[in-house]
Amino acid sequence: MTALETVAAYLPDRRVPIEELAGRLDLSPSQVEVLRRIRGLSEVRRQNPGETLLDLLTAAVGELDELRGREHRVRYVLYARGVPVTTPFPINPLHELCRRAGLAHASAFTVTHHACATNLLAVDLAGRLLRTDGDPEALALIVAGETVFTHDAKLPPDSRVFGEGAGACLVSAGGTRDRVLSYACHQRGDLDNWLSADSDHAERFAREYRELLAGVIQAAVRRAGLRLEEIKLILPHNVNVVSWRRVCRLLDFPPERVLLDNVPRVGHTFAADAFINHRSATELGLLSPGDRYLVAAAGYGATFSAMVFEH
Amino acid sequence: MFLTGPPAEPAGTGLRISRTERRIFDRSSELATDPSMRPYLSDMVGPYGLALRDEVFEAGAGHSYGEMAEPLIGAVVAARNPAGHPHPSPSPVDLLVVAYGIHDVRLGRNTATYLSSRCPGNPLAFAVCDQGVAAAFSALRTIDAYAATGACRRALLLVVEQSALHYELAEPARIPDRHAAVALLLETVGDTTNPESQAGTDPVVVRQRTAVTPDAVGALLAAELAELPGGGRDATLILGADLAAGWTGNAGAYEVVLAPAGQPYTGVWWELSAGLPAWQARGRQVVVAEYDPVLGYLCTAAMRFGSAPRGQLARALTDRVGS
Repeated sequence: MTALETVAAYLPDRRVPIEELAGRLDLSPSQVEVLRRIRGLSEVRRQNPGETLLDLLTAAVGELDELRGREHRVRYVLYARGVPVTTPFPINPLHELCRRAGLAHASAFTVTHHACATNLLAVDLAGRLLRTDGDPEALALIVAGETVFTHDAKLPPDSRVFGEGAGACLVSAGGTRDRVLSYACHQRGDLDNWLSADSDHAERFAREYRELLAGVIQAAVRRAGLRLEEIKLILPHNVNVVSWRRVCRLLDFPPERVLLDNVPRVGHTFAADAFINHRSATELGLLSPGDRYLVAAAGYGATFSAMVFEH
Repeated sequence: MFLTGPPAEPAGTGLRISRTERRIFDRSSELATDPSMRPYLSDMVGPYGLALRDEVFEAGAGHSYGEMAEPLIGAVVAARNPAGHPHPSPSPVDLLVVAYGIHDVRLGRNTATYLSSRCPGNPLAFAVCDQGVAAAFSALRTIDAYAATGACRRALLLVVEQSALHYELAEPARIPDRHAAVALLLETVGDTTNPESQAGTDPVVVRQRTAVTPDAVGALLAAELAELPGGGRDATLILGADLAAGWTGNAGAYEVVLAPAGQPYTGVWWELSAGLPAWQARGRQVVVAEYDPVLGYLCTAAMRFGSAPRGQLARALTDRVGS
């Protein structure tokens, strides 16, 4: 069974209140007020000026204590990237990261086009690659995290605020902890936000969002042979708390079992949310061995994903 | 919806290349004039101290992989009866992977997700990139992994490249001369709509070596070819440009086909597509090989068409990743 051997997260020290981002993100004072008071957004983390994507990912890998001494076992390094194009061609931070981390022997590539749900795709893919290779000692390293270098004013206000943070995890094909029980992924390319301007894809995405996210959650739980009430915790993607409360109402799932603590203080960190929230859940002692929990993510394009684990 | 439990125990259900389509796109896309490109690229390249290239913007140059790949999907997955006539209901595809080395002009678009909605079966779809010429080989390995673990019986690989770069290069790199796309349909034997193409066909076996220095390439490739059934005699070897330049192997032992100049990322697949019908018809062992001198990947994809006993290739080539 695909398993997460260890999960690490890195957050830059610099905290930026969302008010300071308003000008750059074309947010009016009233929109900022709504984001803070109703959506639950408060501040995000940002790197210091001059720090790069490579620095961000290197810091996350540096938090992986269990990688040290086991670098030789890493066969694959997958960068789970939410935004398809972030670096000038042919600059390649991923391979520079591998050289810095003693992983130049691994096959390293980026998986993308699932938006902020690419993290779950990477876990599923890594497990299958390792299982197919048949080496029980082999590992895959997944990294996630992106710098905020531009913004899209066409997105709704609460979708323009991103934080910088990164995560890293080691995946095995037969580990004993944080084992993957199921994975549901629903891609709706008809909701592509890059379709022509006169399409109603944006309205349809907003209208269908709750049902689509609830749908993959329910499907993943059923596929794992469980009932929703057996899920101890949901690790969400860190979009606003109101949308998660609405999804919980639709699911009849208690919102207090969705880890929303990081929404106000970290914000949405692209595909790194899952790993950052996983670290928080671990540090807060929210999961005990044997607990079943679910990671959910969604993004424009559109992709909705959920993955059930056993801790 | 793609829905799965834990990966199944790997079984010998490798996929075979059953059909391909290829296309050059002579004109740029209208999407290359989207005004949102300039601020996006300006923000992206600024931290690296790179300048935008106004002349490329003014020319409206560039293409979108969504637009390029979509017609190939329709062409390659169209079912045909043994006489070659189209079937009204194309069989569904389980997995779609886009592989590229250089990005296109739709910078924030999750193109693979869009293409899933345009493909029979609405397959699980994603992109593989940031691995130079090795990306397409990694994409094949991901397809193999999904098939081997029970999640895929029919897959589509789209290898794409486009020639416009709207900013100066930070370091030397090969830019394509043209917009090109190759689609490869991979199927398990018995699932194909073109059964004649599968007779005696072995699954594709992909091998990747990492951290390979240029001086080691020739010997490593020769050693791999020697492991093929029959020592690779009568094999057709399709070589990427960086391999072709340094190929010192025994040319007389193989039929060597060189990837076309100007297609660094699609070139070997372009030639595979060109020769496939003849190789399927008469039987042939084919090896597609590429080397990325910057990233150090030496990759091969070996396939065997014809009436040879099935499974020879997979038994000969075992270890898939190594340095």
